[in-house]
Amino acid sequence: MAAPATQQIKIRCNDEKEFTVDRDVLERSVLIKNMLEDVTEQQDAPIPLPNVSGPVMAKVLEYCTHHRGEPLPSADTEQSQDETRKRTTDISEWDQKFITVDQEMLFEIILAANYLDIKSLLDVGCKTVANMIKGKTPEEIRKLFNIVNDFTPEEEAQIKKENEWAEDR
Amino acid sequence: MSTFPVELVENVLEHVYGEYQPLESPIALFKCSTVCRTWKSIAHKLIFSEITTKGLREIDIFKKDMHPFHRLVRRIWIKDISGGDVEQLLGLLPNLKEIHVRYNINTWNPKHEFPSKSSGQGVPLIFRNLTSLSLSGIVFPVKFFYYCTSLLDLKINSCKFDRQNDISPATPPQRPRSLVLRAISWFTMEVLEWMLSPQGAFDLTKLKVLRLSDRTDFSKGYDLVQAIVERCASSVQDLMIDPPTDYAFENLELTHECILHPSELSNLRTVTISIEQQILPPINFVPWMIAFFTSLPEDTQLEEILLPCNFFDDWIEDKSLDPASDIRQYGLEGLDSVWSGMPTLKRVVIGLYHAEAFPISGSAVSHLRKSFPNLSGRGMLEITGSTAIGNISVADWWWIVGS
Repeated sequence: MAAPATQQIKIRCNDEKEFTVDRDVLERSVLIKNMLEDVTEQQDAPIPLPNVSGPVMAKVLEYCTHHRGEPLPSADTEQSQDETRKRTTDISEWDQKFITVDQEMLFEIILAANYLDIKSLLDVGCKTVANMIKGKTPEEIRKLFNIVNDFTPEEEAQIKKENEWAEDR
Repeated sequence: MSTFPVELVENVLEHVYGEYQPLESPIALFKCSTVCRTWKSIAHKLIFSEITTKGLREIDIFKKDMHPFHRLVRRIWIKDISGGDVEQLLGLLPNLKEIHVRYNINTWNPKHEFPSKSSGQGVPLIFRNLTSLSLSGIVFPVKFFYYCTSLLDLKINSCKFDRQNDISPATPPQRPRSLVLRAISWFTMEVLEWMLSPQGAFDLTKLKVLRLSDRTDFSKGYDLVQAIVERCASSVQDLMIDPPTDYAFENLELTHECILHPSELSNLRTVTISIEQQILPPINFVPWMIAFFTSLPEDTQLEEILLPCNFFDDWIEDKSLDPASDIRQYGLEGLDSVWSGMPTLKRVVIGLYHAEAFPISGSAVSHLRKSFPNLSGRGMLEITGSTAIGNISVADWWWIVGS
């Protein structure tokens, strides 16, 4: 017996680029999953995603397709994680390869994962950024992420003093 | 990155924070805190959510000079310090949820008290808000837990009651509370027995007991497990006990100090025997092992015995502690008969080390082979160099086997 046909869903990005994707792939995104659950009748009009561009969405869909069928993180997991405030994510070999992109694309993927509410992708992206931070000086971090130092010299001295206490563990 | 929403920066820094282990410095986070004001605020929230205190001077500085961070502290590790200063600090941390108190104990006789009697302020109110408490190597008053009315997770390791200096007045909490309890070492069995008694601080509806018995007194642990099962049978909704009540071990690390019920170990597949801790008077090592293995149920399908003889410093000073004297007196042939008579046994591994009983030498290898004629004759005996239980590397010591 042939397997039941998977429902196909259309999405439209902010550059008018459209994708037709299997529903279970798209439902990796909690945002889209909720949107689809709210719609009772099948609609032909594509779902507009005004915060994501075509090239970024293509990457996101690549991730979702690879991870289709995997269990989504449960509310319990998120709750316990919030309690400890510690996140540890092991990045799989495939994810590692997938996320090896230029910095601009990396940040765009993170923003898209945040908007689309794809927690596992968000964690992979943020963990990658965290790894980029390791071993860098504050000035290097500012340069890398285009951040302006808004501290006064007095404030900087004060922070160093505060950190000294915690540093001596 | 500067255009990122704050919650994304927070997510990134949480991953930076997640990289370090408790009791280490989150160095990368310190650097992040000096990037810009937004990052500082997020980094400090993480850095000071968990603090470690190991000296009175640091406690004093934190109390006096670091007021803005007091409200950020959710978890505190207190190492090897006690007294009223520590408890005063706890009283300054309004959002504290988790306390880990740890003292090094060298004598197996904990003497540090917590909470401290000398503080003169009774039990700090902060204990009412605690959800998690980990106590190691301390003495505490019997009714201390009465004050921990929000406690959800308790870990006690090598702790003792101080029955002479109890806290009063105090009454047990009335509301039933669920508790995840992890208790380690025989000291804590006394605590458990009290907690499970009518005078105990907990009206248990949910209980997880992990590592109830340590490896030195399985018998007492076993009895207590039975008591817990009986005590909680009617009210408990979630009971998990390790070791399990039926002693369904498949792997067992066995020392000569273990007092076991071998007749209940029918699931045993692997036994690792350690003779690293000899006590006075020296046991009769060989008869003890023979007694153990002959007491196993007939249907036990034991497949593997590992005998790693770890080096123990005392053997250098007092040769009478080395099981070599027992082996000389009783020989190993009795073990050979017992082990080779076990129908499912496939492999016996004997590790050599710097002890007289099993020295690393070619003559020791040939001696062992002669002492286990049946095992070596059937190819069931392996001789190797071993320093760690479960970490025997035959490949590293092939030359011993081949000698």
